[in-house]
Amino acid sequence: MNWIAWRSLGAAGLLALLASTFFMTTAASRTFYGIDHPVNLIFYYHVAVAWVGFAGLLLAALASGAYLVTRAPGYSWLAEACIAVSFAFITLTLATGSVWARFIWNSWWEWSDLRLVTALVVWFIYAAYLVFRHQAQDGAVHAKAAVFSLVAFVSVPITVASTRLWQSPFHGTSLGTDSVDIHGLAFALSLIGTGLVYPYLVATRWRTHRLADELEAIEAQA
Amino acid sequence: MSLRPVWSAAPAIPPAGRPVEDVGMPPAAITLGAVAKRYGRHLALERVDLRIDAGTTVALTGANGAGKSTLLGLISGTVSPSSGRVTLAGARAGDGSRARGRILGVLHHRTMLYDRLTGSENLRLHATVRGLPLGRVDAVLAQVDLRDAAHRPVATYSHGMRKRLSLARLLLHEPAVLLLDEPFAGLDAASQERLAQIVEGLRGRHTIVFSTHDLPRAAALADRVLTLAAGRIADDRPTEVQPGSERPAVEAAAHPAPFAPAPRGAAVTGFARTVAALLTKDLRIESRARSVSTAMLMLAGLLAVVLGMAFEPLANDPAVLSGALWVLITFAALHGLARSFDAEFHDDALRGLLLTGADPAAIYLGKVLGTATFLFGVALASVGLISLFFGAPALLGALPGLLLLIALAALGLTAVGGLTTVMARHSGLGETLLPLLLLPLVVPVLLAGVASVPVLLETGRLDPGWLRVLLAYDVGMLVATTAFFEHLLEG
Repeated sequence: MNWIAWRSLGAAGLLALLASTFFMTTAASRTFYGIDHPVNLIFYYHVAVAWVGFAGLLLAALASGAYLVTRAPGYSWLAEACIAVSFAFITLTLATGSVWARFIWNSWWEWSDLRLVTALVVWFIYAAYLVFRHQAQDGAVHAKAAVFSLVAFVSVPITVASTRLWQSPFHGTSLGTDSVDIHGLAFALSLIGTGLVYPYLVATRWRTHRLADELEAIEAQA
Repeated sequence: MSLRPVWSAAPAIPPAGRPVEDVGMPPAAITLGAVAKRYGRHLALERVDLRIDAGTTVALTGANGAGKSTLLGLISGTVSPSSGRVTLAGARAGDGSRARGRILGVLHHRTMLYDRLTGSENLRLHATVRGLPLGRVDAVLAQVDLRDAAHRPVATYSHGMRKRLSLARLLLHEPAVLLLDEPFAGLDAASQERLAQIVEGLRGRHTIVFSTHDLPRAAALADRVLTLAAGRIADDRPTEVQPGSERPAVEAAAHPAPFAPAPRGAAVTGFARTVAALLTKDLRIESRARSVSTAMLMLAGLLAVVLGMAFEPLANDPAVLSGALWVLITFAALHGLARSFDAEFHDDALRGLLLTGADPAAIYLGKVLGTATFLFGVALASVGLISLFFGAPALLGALPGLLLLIALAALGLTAVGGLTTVMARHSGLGETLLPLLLLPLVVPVLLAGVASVPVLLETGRLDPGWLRVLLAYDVGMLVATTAFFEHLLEG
């Protein structure tokens, strides 16, 4: 896919997010769990960003595996780009969730909420990845970072399972409950928009690094 | 750019730009075809074509930075070529490091031995990992004239003795090719002479490539002297054969009789043997030095005192007891892992084991089991410390359940901890990075530990849900970390 196509993807994503914002502000219910408050609308971004961000971590694990097998630096940079963008998305998830909780639960943070705790642990795991990955750019660091990403991906499901044991669920499931009336179109648009912006951001970051690599190779030849 | 060394199948592809006359030539042991190596913008070696005949002894000379170590690294496979290819006779395509370990013996600046083990124990460890008969150990010790010092720890050896012991390590498996990186550097005249005599005795039986700054030594020991300058072979000439120093027949060297590798069916026993050898090695070193467990115990003791003072009013709360216990175990693990893996990187001992061609997964598993054993002991002592400083004998009453809990936790913590310790060590930030890398990954273990102890104190049983989490974590992480360990060792 050429670069113009990637940009169109990003632009389409932004349009979908704008449309989603339009529908949620004009047509969607602001009452969640019996509480009527405009901050409830943050749900439409919060869930989409969380889903797409976590899905991107799967892509990062696949890219890391591909890097260890093929040793093509492109895969290592793809994994890095996915994790960097997912990390930003998880940060947004934590921030939007925290803002919502401030108004609805009257608390910025609840240790009893397993999803908050899980997201925070995952945030720390991938923060460590980014710190490690960016200390130097050579194959040895790329390989170690890829291993870390794969091991992290083994750890995440067990972390989710263990936080569930740790606390009985407080943060209810987001969809399919009667106490939440979701505007289907606004949510679908938000998910599609986020789903389009994500690959655009990943591709942008990936391409920047590839170009930097090429530049370095050209300079080395000169 | 591939970061894997390019190992091609024998027979060697003739190097570009240099016709190979087949007829009447001895077989090539090492062939470099248009090999170049650059480090970033620095060109360390520029399109080198080289053929080294089996059974010859070649000296590499040249100023510092001329490319001698790079050339040796390319032949040994520790340096991957930027372009071109390196071919070793006897290596099959795709055998990678295993075949290299069988064909090569590489002498580095660092001894690649464990200081706390005796000379004989070091060689026995290598022989065991290679699956060689232990009788070889005495034979090579005699060859390098170290039989009298065999049962002294390497820490007490002189520099010259360490060099000879390192050489003995290479000779265990009778490799076809010996690569010696500045073997005479830093030795006094007598030690140099002694080592030179040993190398002289090996000439003809192995293909030997050594680098040196000592030109008379090079002329005396080698059949051929290569002079490198600024990444090129500036001079390549045979030395004059001195009267009365005819070499043994080259054919003998072309087909050396290396100790046969273990048959394929023995892979499992080989794996188990390596794991057991590594575990025994760690226990033996620790029983002498006690450096890992003492450091962990000291830290755990200090923490128990501090936490005991801080939480005195809450000392009877099972949740507080549990939290304090797992703080001790976590910090002990962080501290102990760094100490335990230090021993592996000191003098490059771990790299020496990996150069044998042993399965890195087996080496990692052995190391993890060893370190987990120490952590288990310290965790057990932490139970005692917490009971003492919190005045909570109930914790001791729950010991049978705690034993299982602590054993599972120690294994999981060490499996991931070993991996992250190696990562942190090789990072620019060093071991300060370890807590950042390790702690988020071991959240399930810590949660299971912290949540299980109060349940255990109340009901006398371990919670089956948490046990499942711990088991799943241990199995998943042991499999993942041992499988991926190999990739951590580059660079």
